[in-house]
Amino acid sequence: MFAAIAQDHVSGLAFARPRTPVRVVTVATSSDEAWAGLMAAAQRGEAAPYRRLLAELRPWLVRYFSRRLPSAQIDDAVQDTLIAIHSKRHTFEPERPFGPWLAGIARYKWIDRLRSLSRHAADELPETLATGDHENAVTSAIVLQGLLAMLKPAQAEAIRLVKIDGLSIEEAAARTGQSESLVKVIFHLGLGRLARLVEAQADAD
Amino acid sequence: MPIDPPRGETDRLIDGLVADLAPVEPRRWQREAALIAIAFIAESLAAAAMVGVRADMPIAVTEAAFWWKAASLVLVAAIGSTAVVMSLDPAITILPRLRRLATAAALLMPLALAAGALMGGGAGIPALVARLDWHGGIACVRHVAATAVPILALLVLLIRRGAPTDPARTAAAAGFASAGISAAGFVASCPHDDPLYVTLWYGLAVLIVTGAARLLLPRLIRW
Repeated sequence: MFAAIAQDHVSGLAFARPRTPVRVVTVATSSDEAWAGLMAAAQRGEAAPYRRLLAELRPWLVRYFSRRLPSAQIDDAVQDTLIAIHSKRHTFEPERPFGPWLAGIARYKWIDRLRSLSRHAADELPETLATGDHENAVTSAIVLQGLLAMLKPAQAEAIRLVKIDGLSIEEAAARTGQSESLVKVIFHLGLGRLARLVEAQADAD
Repeated sequence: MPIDPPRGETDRLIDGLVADLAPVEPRRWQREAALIAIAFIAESLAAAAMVGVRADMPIAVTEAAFWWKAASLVLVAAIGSTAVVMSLDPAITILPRLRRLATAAALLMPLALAAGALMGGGAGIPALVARLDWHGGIACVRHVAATAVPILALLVLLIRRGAPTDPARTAAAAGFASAGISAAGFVASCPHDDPLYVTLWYGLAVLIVTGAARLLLPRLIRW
């Protein structure tokens, strides 16, 4: 199983210095070469290698997004990314490494997700309560937690309470002692800033 | 609407993607670069046909100012085109570094204007105004901006075939490149070589096209 070897190293320490975040996403060399070979075969139209490639990419993507998004968003992000990989498969140049290509697309779709979280934040709020098990999300969305550390405390708190802990706006308002409309605004601003932060990270790479 | 999609949805998606698989030809940056070079040649020929080659061309080619203008504009075209083509590969994140270059260029503009104003003949406000020849200048800006549009359209087609992961910067780079290509193609038609004139009016044209592309293109090139 190549997917088992695939690693997604994310330095948690990077966020101790918010001005210079170091974000290294790598794919183990053996799977990188195998995936490049499978993608080259897929570009020639061979279905079996393509199916194997997608099946192996899926757990890698689940891992990638579970560190970066609230748990309710992971499946959608994985599916978006698989579709993007499919429609942009011709942009992979077979003689080049596969990992950076994959990571570039996954990161693009991650930013997309953060953006749409921010855009649709208001509509999604009532449903957030129903998502249930957030124990996992809290511990696994490591990168997201790191990013929250870079926001203003009030924004980070609002996002943490609503998106990760799964509280409703009313509960978050009660918890922080602020009005509901204020929590809503802070939450919104925070998500927008979050998307911009992720984009800006490339500047420091 | 459930937040968690039903189990098996991703499996069905993978089935669908595999069923949809058709052979594709991997992209080659060399082909994209060649296409842009051809567009530049076509643009130069079109400018020569539409506006005509400047009458003093034999004299102009002996002057340093002409070659300075040509080299600067070709450099703008080359930097912009390189940035666009590189940005189509999701594995490459070089555009952020180009921002420093752009900042440096923006800071150099006033310096270049001041140097241009001091260099060359004629001091004093009336002489400067005469050198700037704002009638000709506006015409130059209009020509560069108008002929940048077909180049920009071509770049949008290229970009949509690629996978740019930073749409805003790719859009700005495309504007910069198309203005550079358009201006460089106009080099033998525009009779002005005065560095002051070139820096102000061509600089303005590049800024306008880059800004417009930065505003309008991102929604066209998202994927």
